[in-house]
Amino acid sequence: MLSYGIRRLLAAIPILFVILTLTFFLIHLAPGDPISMFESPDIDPAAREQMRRIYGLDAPLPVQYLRWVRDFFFRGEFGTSFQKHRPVADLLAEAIPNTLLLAGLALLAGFVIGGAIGILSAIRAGSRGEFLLSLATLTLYSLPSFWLALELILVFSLWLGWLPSSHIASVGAAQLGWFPRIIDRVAHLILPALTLGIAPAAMMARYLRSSLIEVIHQDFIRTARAKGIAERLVVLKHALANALLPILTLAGLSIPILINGSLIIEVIFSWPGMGRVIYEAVFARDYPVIIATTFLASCLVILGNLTADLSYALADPRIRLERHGR
Amino acid sequence: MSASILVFLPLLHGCGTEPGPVSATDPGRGGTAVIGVRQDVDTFNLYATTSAFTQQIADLLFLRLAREQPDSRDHPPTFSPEFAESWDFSEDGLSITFHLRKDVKWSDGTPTTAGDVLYSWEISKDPEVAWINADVKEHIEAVEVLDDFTIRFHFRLNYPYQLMDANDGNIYPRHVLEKIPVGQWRSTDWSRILFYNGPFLLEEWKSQDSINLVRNPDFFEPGAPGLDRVVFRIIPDPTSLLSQLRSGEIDIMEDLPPRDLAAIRRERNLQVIEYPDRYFQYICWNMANPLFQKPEIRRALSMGINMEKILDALLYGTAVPASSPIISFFYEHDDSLKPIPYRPEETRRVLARNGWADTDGDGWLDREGETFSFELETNAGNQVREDAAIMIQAQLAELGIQVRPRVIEFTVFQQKHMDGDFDSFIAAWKVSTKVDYLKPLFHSDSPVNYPSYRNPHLDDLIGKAPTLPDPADALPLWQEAQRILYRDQPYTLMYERQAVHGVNRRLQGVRMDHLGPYAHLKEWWIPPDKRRF
Repeated sequence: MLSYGIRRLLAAIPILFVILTLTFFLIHLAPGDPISMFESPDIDPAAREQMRRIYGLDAPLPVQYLRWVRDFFFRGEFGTSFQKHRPVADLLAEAIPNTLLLAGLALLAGFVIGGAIGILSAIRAGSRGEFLLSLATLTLYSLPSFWLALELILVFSLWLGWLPSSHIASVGAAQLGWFPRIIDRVAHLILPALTLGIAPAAMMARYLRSSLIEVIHQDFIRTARAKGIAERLVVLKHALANALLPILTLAGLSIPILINGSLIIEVIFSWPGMGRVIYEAVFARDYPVIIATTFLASCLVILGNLTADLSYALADPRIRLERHGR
Repeated sequence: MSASILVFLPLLHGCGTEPGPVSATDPGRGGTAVIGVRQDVDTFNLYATTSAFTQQIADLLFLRLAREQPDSRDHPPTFSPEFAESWDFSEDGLSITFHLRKDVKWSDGTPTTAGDVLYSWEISKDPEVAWINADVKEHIEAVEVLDDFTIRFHFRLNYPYQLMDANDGNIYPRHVLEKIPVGQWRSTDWSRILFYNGPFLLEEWKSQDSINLVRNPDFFEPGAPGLDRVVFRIIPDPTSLLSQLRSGEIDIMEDLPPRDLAAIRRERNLQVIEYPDRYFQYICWNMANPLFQKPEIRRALSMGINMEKILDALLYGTAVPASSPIISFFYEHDDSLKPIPYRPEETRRVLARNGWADTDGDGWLDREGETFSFELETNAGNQVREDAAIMIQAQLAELGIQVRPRVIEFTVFQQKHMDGDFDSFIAAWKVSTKVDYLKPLFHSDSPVNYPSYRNPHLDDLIGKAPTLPDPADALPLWQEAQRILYRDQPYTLMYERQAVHGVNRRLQGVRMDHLGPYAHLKEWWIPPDKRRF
């Protein structure tokens, strides 16, 4: 299994190279450039040209590409952000922990809530209650997340005043003791994590429901029932353990959903994470940042898929990832 | 003649009272203001920035020689002393000697001296640094340090903006900036290494999150600043900004959306602060397009647009029709020009005279088989402009002119202007109080002359006017230039906008004007019973 993992990782390198090369040319060929942002009659045209030189945009595109390949792949340098005037690596080092915290919590919340809904609707499959529950889940899932986010802010921040509507901490939180500070952080996490967690929750509910229903009709469940075990135990202990198997892959496959979701959620909730960095970089044509974040997002997706495959194999001994007889 | 008559005496805060130590418990002082802003700063080094917001923050952290006053109506703006206690012009008007304060210190305790002023001038014009406003220094020939607290600026020319140009750009600490090679200025996190001498010090910068300023205990001006702390919270989404203003999480939101104004005015804890801004909105006609080549046609188009109706529908009283690219509260503005009136019949007549008629009965004017049809571009995300484009489409359609509104992503929008790749577009300029901006906008050789307007006489006027020593002599030239632009309509001027900001009533002493919402921030404070942090 280890060698399988390594092989998959090695295979990812050419994939990454192709993705990044495509990104490089797409963003450079797209209309608009980082310098055209600075439009003002006050701006010195000479300064504009000097900036072009500082950013290395004065060279022909193939030369820029070769320089980038050299710096990125052979020196491991992400470069300097055009817009923020700081090393891209520093920007990312600040933003990534915030995004991991938000996305991790969203995934957890999504799976717990979605799991509960999935179990409930599997047990009550076909009932009117299950129909209503499915309808509610589907409705929530279909709502655009930016709209939902704004409605949550309206209700919980503006009307009720219970939860803060933005940022990672309150003004003056640094002066608080450790416990109020944690409470403050949790309060700031609730709305964005909930909004971001809805897509994984709905996915989890749907998959777990169908997976459970399938398992419930299998022979060993009938045996368990025949032995007189309470129905609750049958479902939660025997059926769920087996139904959870296919769900494991979901965690890995949710990563692209979370990355996409964080773009919108982080902007609305002013969350200082990767999504914000990407969002602003795209509008400012901040090429080094766009490429570095594409690189990270691609790595996460590849790793997520790999984790899904590996964990599936670990959980189910029947699955063999390596080919036999070689 | 001496330009120093334009220097006003300082109106210092607490003038006439005994200057004493500032106490945080003083009811007229203290508090933390939280200001919601859409964008972060890119750096704290003004000379390496590309962001207008950084300039506003730099003015809170770093002194200038003098402060511009919001008094541009009756003469070009005057200045009050800041780091320079006083200044005088030489007999020939070609040099200014600044006498500097001796009690200003950087936040590491070293004194701010003429050496810092000299250094700041040197970097401001250094091509390697590439400060975006470097060209304001073009008429300064040399700067000479006479002693630690006296410095002289030598000019190539005697003109009304000498003081303004010498003063442009803040004074930065030489002993910090010198440590970093210029090549690394645009990749350095200056927030960690700078020292300050302004009313506030930078306490902490959390990128994408907040900029925390704290009172400078050693600020030279007695009693200032009022606030203990100022927190700029970065909130990119305008809907979130608005809801946080209403919930009291932030004290200030800039540029309230016009359609939410009525609701904000009803909020008890909020006040709306309005002032005329240095901002005008316009339609640019691309004269490379045969449709727009004749001034007569451009005037006819201006007359076919009912601007009053657009302002009523979209701006809720926060804008007035404009007549000139020189803002109406600037000294150089020609008051005899009135906004072009709405005269659709005149538009019809002019177009008919030029051979435009609906010959095929499709409802659109045509000539030699070609329909009078063009694109009107705006940038995505600006609802007022998008709606205005739709209204203009409807108004001109009644006259048989086919307008095709098009909404384009901002960066592409800008790029297309520079490439001349458009028929017409709606955009706006935020201009400086130095009216020589007419030169980049309309001079034949300017890269920002988007309409591709060519008029050698206008080139002469706008080239000569800013170089005349006496503003009164320049005034007729500026006015003639405005009348030419009014006649030729390379732009259809739409409106001048009011700045409209939402401010929580717990903030006291708030004064705002066209110098920017935070230009007088050091005067603000919050009474003890309304402090929250």
